[in-house]
Amino acid sequence: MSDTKKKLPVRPVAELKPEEARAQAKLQFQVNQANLFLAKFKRPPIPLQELAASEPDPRIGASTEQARDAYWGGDWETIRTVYKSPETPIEAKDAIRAMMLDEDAGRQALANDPDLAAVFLSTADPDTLADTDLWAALGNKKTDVIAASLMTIAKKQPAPNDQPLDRETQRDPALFSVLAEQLTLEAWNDTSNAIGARKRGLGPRVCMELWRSHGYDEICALIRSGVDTSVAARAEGSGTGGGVRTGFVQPVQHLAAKCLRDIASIDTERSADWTSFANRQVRGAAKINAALEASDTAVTLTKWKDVQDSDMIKEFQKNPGTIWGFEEVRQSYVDAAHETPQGVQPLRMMELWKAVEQALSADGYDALLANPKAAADKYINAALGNDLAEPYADKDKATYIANFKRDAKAFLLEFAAQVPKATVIRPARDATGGARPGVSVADIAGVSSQLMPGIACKAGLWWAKNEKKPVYYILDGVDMDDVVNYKTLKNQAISNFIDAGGQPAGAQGHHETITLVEIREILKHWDELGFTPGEGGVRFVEKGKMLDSQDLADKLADWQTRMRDADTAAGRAPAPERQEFKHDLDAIDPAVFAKLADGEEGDKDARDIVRKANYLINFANTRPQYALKYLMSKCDVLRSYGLIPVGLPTTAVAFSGIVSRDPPAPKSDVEAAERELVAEIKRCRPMFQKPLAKAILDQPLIGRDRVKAALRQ
Amino acid sequence: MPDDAARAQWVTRVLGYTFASAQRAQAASQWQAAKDSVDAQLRTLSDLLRKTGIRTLADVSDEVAGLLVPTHVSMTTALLAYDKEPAKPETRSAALAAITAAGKFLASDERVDAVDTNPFGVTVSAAATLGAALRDLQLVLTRRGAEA
Repeated sequence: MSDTKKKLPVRPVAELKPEEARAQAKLQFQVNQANLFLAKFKRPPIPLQELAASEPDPRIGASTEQARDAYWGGDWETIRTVYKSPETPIEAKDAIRAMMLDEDAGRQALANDPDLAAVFLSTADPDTLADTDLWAALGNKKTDVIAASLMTIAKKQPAPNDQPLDRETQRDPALFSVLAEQLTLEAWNDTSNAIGARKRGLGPRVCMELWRSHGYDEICALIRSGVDTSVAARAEGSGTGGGVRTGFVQPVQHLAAKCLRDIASIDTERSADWTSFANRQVRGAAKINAALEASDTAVTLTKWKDVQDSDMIKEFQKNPGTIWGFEEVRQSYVDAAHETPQGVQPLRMMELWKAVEQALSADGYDALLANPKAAADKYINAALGNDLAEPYADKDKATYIANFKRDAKAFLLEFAAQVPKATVIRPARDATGGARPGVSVADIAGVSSQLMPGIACKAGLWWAKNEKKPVYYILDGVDMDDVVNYKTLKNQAISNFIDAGGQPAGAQGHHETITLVEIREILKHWDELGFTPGEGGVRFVEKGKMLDSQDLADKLADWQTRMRDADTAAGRAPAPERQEFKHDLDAIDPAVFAKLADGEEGDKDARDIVRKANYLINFANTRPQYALKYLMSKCDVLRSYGLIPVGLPTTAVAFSGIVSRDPPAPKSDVEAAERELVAEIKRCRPMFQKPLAKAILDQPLIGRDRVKAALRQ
Repeated sequence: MPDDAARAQWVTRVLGYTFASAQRAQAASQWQAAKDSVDAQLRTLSDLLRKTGIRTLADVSDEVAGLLVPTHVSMTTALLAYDKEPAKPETRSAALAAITAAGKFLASDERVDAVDTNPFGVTVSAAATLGAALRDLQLVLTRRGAEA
C-alpha cells in the first residue's frame, strides 16, 4: 500500500481508522436524519447524485478530508466534482489521482467515465503511470481517453525555465511522452477513408495544438516515432487561423513548409521586428523541418535555398505564371517567385481575392452576370482601397497594382462567362414564392460550404489559360486518392447531412476542399487546361521539380481513369427529401412536384430541376451563344419532366442551321423554321420562354445579321 | 407604557383582577409574540435548508418558512373578531374553536414534529411555544365566558 493509500485508505469499513470510521458514520447518520426530516414533509430522500451536484455542498470543498469522504461513500460523482473544483488544492488532487489509479474500483470508475479519465491523465505524474493497471481497465476506451488527454496536454504552454511544473496549467513533456507511447501508430495515423473524418484527425489535431503552444519538441518526437504529419483533418467550424484553414486542420508539415523563407532569415535584420511568438514559431518550424528531413518523411522541400534553386522557380523566371496548390505549401514558392524580377504581379488567386470576393455573394454575382465589365471595374476599384502592394518599393508597387488591375479584370470577366453554377447560392423560395432569408438552394442540398470560393478558383484556372499564363501546380502534400475519390466522399458527406436532418436541423453538409476541386477540374479538362508551350496551361510540380512528359503522361492516365471509375461508382449525389425543394419547384411548375419519380431518384430529380432551371435561365441571359449547347447536354431532367419540350433542342438546331445557311435560305424557309421554334418555345414553362427566345431565337438572327453587316463592310 | 395599561397591570399583578381590555390585549399580544418567535426560528431553518444547495432540501425550505401561515390566519381572524365584540358569545366561541384547531394542528401535523426535531442544528420550538400561548388564550377566553 502506498503512502497516499495510507492517507486515503481503502473502502472496507474494517480497515478504517477510528476517526475516519466515526466521520463516515456521522455523515451517514446526518444523511439519514435529513431524510427522516424530508419524509415528514412527504418529500423523497436526498439522492446521492444531488449531494454531489449541489453547490455549495457541505461535503464538497477544498480539502482532502472532503474528497476522502466522497471516496468512502463510493460516490464517484462527488469525487469528480471535488477534483474539478478550482478550490480543491493540488495536493488533494494528487491524492485523488493516486487513489483512483491504485484502486480497482477507482480504475473502473475512470473506465466508466472517459471524460474524467482524460482529465485525470492530463494532469497525472508520469511516474504513477509506469506500472498501472489502468490501461487494461480502460479496455476499448483506452485510445479515446488517451487521445482526449493528449489534446488537453497539447493545449497547455510549457513551464517557464527553472519554475516548478504545474500540470494543471502547464505541459509536462514527460507525461505527454508516456501517454503518446500508449497509442498505436494506427491510432495516430488513422486511415479511415474519409476526408476530415473525425477518427482521422488525432495526429493533425494534436500537432496543431502543439504548434499553437510551442510544443515543437513534442512534434519532433512524434515525427521520429512515425506519426504522419502530412495529413489534414476536419476542424470544428469553418474558420482560418492558428493552423486551421477554411475548416481544415492543416498538416503540421504544411505549417512548417510555409516558414522556409523566415527560417533562412533567423538572426538577420529581417527578423528584428518579429514578435516573440513569431520568433519561437519560426525556430520551432526549423526544428520540425530538420526532424522531417532526418526521418525522410517530408512531403515538401524543407530548405529555402532548395526552393530558390528549384526547377520550378527557374521555369517561372522563363515563363512567369501563377502558383497553385495547398496554401501553406505553395507559400515558399510564391515567396521565392515574388523575389524574382518576373514576380512583381499577383501569383495566386489569394492575391486577387480582395476583388474576387465581392463577386461571391448572391447579389455581387448577379451584378457581375448582369454587367460584367462594370461590375469588375467596381470590384477592382474597391479592392484598391487596400494596401495590395505593401511588400513592394514604390516603383514595383505601381507595377504590381497595374498587374493586379489587369489580372483581376480578366479573371472577373472569365468568372462571369463560366457556367453559372453559382446561381445555387441564391435564396431558396418560401411558401409564398418569396426568398427564404439566409437559406440558399445550396444550403438545402448540403453543398454550400466553400462552394463559391471553389467555383471561383476553378474559373481562375480558365482565366489563366485564356491569358496564356502558366499554372504551376504544386502537388506536394496532395493525396491523389482524395482527388480521385472526391465524389464518393462528397456524396457520403451529403448523405450524412441528410441523415442528420439536413438544413432545417442545422446539420453540417459537405465542405468543399478547394485544392482537390481544382485538381479535379484540371484532370477532367486536361486537353484544354494542360500546358502547351506558348499557350500557357497547367504544369504539375513535385518538390520543386517539373513533372516531365513521360512521368506526367503515366500519372495523368492513372489519375483520370481512377477518377472516372470512382465517379461512375459514386453515382448521383444524394438529395434531401423533395419537400425541401417544393416551393422552388412550384415556382417552375406547380404540377411538377406530383410528377416526381418515387424514392431517392425523385428527390434527386427535384434538386436537379431547381438547379438546372436556374443554370439554364442564367445561361440564356448571360451566355446566350452557349445556351443551346447547355440545353442539349445538361438539361435532360427538365425535358423528361416536360418543363422544356423534348423536341426543342432539335428544332433550335434546325433553325440555327437554316439561319446561318450559306447561301442564305429562302425567306419562307426561315419563317417556317422560326414559326416552328416559336411554337416549341411557347410550350416551355413560362419562366423559360423569354430567356430561351433571346438565346436560341434572337441570338442566331443577331449572329446572321452581324455576318451580313461584316460582309457588307 | 400608557398610564391606563400601567394601572391595569398593577391591578392585575397586585389585586388579581383582570380588566376586559387588558385581557384582550394580553391574549392577542401573547399569540403574536409566540408566533413571531417561532417564525424567526423557522426562517433560520428555512435559510439553512436553502443554502445547502441540495435541491430536495431547498424545495422544502419554503414550506418550512410558511408552516404556520394557515394557522396564523385562522387565529388572527378569530381573535380580531373577538377583540371587536368580546361580549358576543359567537366571537368567543369562534376564537376558542380556532384555538382548539390550532392545538390539534400542532399536536398532529408531522411537519411540526419535523421542524422541532430537525437534525440541522437549528432550535425550533413550535409545539412548545405556540402550545403554551394557545393554552393561555384558551384559559383566558374560557374564564371570560364564565364571567359573562
